[in-house]
Amino acid sequence: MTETYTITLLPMGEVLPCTPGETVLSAILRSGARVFFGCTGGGCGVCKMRLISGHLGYGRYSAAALSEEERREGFFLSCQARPLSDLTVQLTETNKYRKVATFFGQPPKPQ
Amino acid sequence: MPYRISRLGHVEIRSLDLDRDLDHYVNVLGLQLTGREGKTAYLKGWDERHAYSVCLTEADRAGMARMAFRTVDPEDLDYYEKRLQDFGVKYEVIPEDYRRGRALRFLAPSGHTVELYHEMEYTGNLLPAVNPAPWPEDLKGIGVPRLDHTLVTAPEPHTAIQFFQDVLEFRLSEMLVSPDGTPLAAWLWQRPAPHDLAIVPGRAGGFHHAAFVVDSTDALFRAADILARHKVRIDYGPGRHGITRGTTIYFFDPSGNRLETFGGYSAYQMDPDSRPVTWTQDQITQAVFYYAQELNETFLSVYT
Repeated sequence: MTETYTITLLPMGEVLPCTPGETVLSAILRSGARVFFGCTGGGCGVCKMRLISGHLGYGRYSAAALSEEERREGFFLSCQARPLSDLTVQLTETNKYRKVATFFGQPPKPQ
Repeated sequence: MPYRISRLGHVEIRSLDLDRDLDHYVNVLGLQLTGREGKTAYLKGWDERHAYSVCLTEADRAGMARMAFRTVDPEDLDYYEKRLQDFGVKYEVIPEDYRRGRALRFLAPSGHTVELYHEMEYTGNLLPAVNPAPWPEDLKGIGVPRLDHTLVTAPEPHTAIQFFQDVLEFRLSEMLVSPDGTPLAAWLWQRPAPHDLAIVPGRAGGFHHAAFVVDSTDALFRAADILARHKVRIDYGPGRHGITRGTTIYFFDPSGNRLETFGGYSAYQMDPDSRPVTWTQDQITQAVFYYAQELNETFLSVYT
């Protein structure tokens, strides 16, 4: 995982760079946007997103947080998943995506 | 009413990667590793006198596998066995477990596996039994002295709360009630502290957190320093709960299980005469986070 990939977020069409080895969640937060997330350990499942195209490493996560069936339908946990190619990701209302103001080039603390 | 449960004896927490998570429990939380067998590591706080209070077991999912309460006397285990029979609760007898004697295991209406036991190997704490210093040197990380309580979720909290009150004789220290008076959440005790167990609404079998003691305000801020230094995800705190008055930091272990440092020093002492404190639903924000006066987004939605 030494390449830099891009993540396209739908429905907005926002395109973000993802640094090598970075998780999808981390790339989104670093871009100055916010989404709803929880434990960041792959345990709670609230940061679930849906992959439309591309390949990713799913990382280590709780089978109770992401079922096999959900995974077959394209869902992944954004706090654990790392891109293996350019990705297109569909966000839903549960992800609560919003842009935030940045200070000294950094977004404020997640809420 | 006699006092028959001395404390929450141990919890079994599931880990997605035991070696990785042990580093957190030993070097950040600062528990003592007392044994390891197969996929389970056994740990305890430095001031605990029995073989373990946390079992950390590698599994394909996060969450809590079981909670076990220790009875005050061996006869109390027989007493509760009779009560389980009287209330028609199906239970299993576990003849022995790692460094532990006979236990009764049953499923609570909240969907949690609960055990009652009395015997566990007595190891003493980390201090000498004769002329001890107040605390041991060379503790790692936060260096918590002991496990305090657990908070779990239930789809019908009032049913689960009633079960622990009726069958296991826990008492209410505090409760959050809906406008019609139904308990939505409760803090339950037998040991003279505000709670050994708490129940809030959520999924069956859900694990909200396990709490470990910090025993001063200095220790609370030192704990926050250590968590931040290790870049642990802090969910809330340092802060204070309206409920129990305890100071708090909520944070997550690397598998996403929420843990807490709980300031029992700031909470009140229970007394046989204590009667339940009630919080109304419109004041839940300050009941939970007294200073913030609002719930964070994760409090009722993020658990394992």
